[in-house]
Amino acid sequence: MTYPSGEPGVFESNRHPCRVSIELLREYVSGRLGASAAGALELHLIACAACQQGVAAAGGADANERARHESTWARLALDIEPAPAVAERLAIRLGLPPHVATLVASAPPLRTAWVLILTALLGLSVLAAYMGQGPAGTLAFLVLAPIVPVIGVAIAYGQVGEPVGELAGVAPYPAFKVVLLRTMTVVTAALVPAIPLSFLLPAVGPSHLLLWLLPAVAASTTTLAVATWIRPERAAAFTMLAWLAIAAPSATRARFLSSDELIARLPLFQPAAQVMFVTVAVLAVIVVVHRRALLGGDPGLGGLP
Amino acid sequence: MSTQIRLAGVTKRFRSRAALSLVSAEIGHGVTGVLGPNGAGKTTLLRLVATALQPDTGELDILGYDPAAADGRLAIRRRLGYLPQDVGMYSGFTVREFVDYVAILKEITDRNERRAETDRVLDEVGLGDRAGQRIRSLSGGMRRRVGLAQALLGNPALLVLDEPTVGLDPVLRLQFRELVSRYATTGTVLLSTHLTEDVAAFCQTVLVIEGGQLIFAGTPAALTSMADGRVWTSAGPDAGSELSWRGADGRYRHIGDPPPDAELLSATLEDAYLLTIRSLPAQAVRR
Repeated sequence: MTYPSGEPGVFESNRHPCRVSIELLREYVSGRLGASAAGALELHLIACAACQQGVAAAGGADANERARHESTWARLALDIEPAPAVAERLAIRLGLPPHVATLVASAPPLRTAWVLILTALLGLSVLAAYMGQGPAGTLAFLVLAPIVPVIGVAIAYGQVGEPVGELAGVAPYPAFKVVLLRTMTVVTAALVPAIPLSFLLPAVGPSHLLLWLLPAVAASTTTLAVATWIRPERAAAFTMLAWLAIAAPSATRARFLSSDELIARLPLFQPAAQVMFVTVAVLAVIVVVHRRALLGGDPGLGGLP
Repeated sequence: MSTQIRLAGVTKRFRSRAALSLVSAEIGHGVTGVLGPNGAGKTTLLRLVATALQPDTGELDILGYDPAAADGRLAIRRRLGYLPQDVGMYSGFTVREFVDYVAILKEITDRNERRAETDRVLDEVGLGDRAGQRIRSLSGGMRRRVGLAQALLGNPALLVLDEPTVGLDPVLRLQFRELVSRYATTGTVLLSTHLTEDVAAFCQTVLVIEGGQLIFAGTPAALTSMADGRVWTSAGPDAGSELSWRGADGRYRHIGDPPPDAELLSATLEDAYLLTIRSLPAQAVRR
């Protein structure tokens, strides 16, 4: 007998070897007991006459029994929901509210983006490993790395990737906010693993990080800005072609240079070019902010057929 | 009738094609059905009311708000349940994940509240036991019900449903009518359909659209009365009728002028709808 003395008479006559305390029963009756413990106790109550009387003695023998039971199982159902995906947990840890983390991370385009980004990065690292000693591997990384987040932006934001289609455009939740949150997440996801990978390239050390980081940021923001005029997929294609057109002259000259000379002599990697990329990124951000109503499917100023 | 939706001279063009031309109508509480052939402009009308499109010319007033203004659009969207013709559904979502995702977009941000609301709407459409099932494994009819479930989130004052009964079997269609009728006791439902039986069964108002123009607005009874005295039955076919077909009883049903030895029949909504569509003046059909 584990019930404290002085409690209702039911315990004196109870010879059942039950270890449930009256305090626990009181917590259960008052609804303060956690869902898991309450669920376990309810299963126990089915078979334990002493505890059934204990619940009655604790004030639980009333018309609310069914409601209490349903409340327990509703809370239990919430507790045993599947754990959030890795990306969602990460987003919550970064400080996003849980519902925003769900919006950002559980959206299928982001999953696709992750796969593509990682595959692309792996491809780049393999390429660099094979060609690392020559200028071709270095140049391939420096030219292709800025494109990776652009692809991510197109997938994360494109109409094709919106998991609920037209519904997102007519929902009260700001579509622009969803677009920006997803874009930032994808760009971050692309850049974070790329940074240590870039350190593995012989000619691209930490001091050369900005060589591809600035074009990557400029290309991502330009994609968003252009997407206020045309569809995101086309905006991404436009940005990628523009970047390749800028980088192509460098590629034709690269075969005559070593990896070190590549960075030291090609115009693409000189300070003037870096200043240009910063300028482009700033201008693109201004355009995006100014034309934000046209991002994210709000048809207020026109609308797609 | 208190007006919930008002369209005044609304025109919407896609490139050179006019999907809607100078449509004016007033829609009140209850269920309003939009009838019309494929490509008539039904979906465009519904997308305008759902704030998915803006008109090129004309004015809209929805639940007292102006959808041309950003704050008006937001106010409408907070009171709207919308079932598009093609609901984009990521097939990797479970039924619950999909409805939960839409619930967040509808600003139901509290997890417990969202869970309860998701359970409620899934129970409403009879999918409570399918919550954990992947969208990709659902039949077309079940997907339609999932689409309807998301539209019911938050008990919207305005339900806009584009072809909601497509893919539903007769029993499910009856359940759908019961469900929508219940919602319409306190709110406004605008639905498009190409099934006259849907309109006859539970719509208080019917709009008929053809070639981007509104050609009828009124009660189903008023539409039906347009065919009074113009529906006939006879033993044989009649080349002079506007429409003529052989029924299940082996006798011919004619719509239009009476053929020889014909008996007059009571008109149905379908007869009137067919007659309305067929008797359009040429300039109304052409754009």
